[in-house]
Amino acid sequence: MLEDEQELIQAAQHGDDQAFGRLYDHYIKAIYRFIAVKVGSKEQAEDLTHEVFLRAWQKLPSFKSRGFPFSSWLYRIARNRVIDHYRTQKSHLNVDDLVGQMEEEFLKVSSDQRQQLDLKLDLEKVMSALEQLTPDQREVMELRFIEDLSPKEIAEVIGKREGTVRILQHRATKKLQELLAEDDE
Amino acid sequence: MNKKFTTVTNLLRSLEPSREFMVRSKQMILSTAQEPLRRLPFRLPVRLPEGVTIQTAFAFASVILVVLAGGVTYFNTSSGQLAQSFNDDTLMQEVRTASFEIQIAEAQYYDQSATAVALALEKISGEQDNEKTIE
Repeated sequence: MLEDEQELIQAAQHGDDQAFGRLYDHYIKAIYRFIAVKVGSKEQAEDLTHEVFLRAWQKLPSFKSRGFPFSSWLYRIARNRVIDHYRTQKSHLNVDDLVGQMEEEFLKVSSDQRQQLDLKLDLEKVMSALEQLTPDQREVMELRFIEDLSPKEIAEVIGKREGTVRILQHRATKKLQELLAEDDE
Repeated sequence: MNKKFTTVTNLLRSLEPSREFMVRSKQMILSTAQEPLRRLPFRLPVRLPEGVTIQTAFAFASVILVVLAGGVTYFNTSSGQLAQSFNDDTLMQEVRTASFEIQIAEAQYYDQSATAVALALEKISGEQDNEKTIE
């Protein structure tokens, strides 16, 4: 969260494009990542990310914080946009697209780690294990471990209680451990 | 958490859009006009709880209207007696009938009690006659 975020939001609500530009720069990568993990394709993820920020800019005058961070609102817009995307496109996550985007970063990890990890195979295993969770559990795990959101923030994004999020995370972690342990055997 | 899961999620965190996309997208967005803030044409005197939207309010008002309309229809159609009871003439008729019924009941009571009293008096006078004969 930006230090002067409240002032930036208020200024952007009154049409200050510089203020919105700073909010955009701060949150663009997180929102892009949130979408990319769900759609795989870089082009689709960029298009959807653009639509999310366009909608945020247009709707910002009517935005009310209600005690939750601005990022929760952005994630909610992104989540709804991804749901609409899958409803209209009927496409599926392409792991190859994700691998292509991760290869550069993969080269930066230590050679020891690289030897222990077959990027494509292990990504497929993890994504396949995530797909075996319920949609709610999967969403909680992605927001918790990839987006690094707190249970309270996740609750606001997915529209559930904080306690429910903790239960979903607990069950998902247990199930994922079982699924990934089966793969290792 | 599983080590493989942690490594893969750490790598997924590295996903980011291209620099050109970010510059182009931001320029396009900021060249678009914001939607003006829509205000209600009236202001409610009380503050509604969070989550109560205009749609909820209309739905609630519709339910109340249906209940009121149903209630009025019920009284008008299926409850003729209740409607009659609001009529002055009917009420007066009821009062007269009630008083007539009360008078009949009183006459019956006096008739029965008069017979009983006559029998008792006859018995007492018979006893007095017997006493005089003995003397």
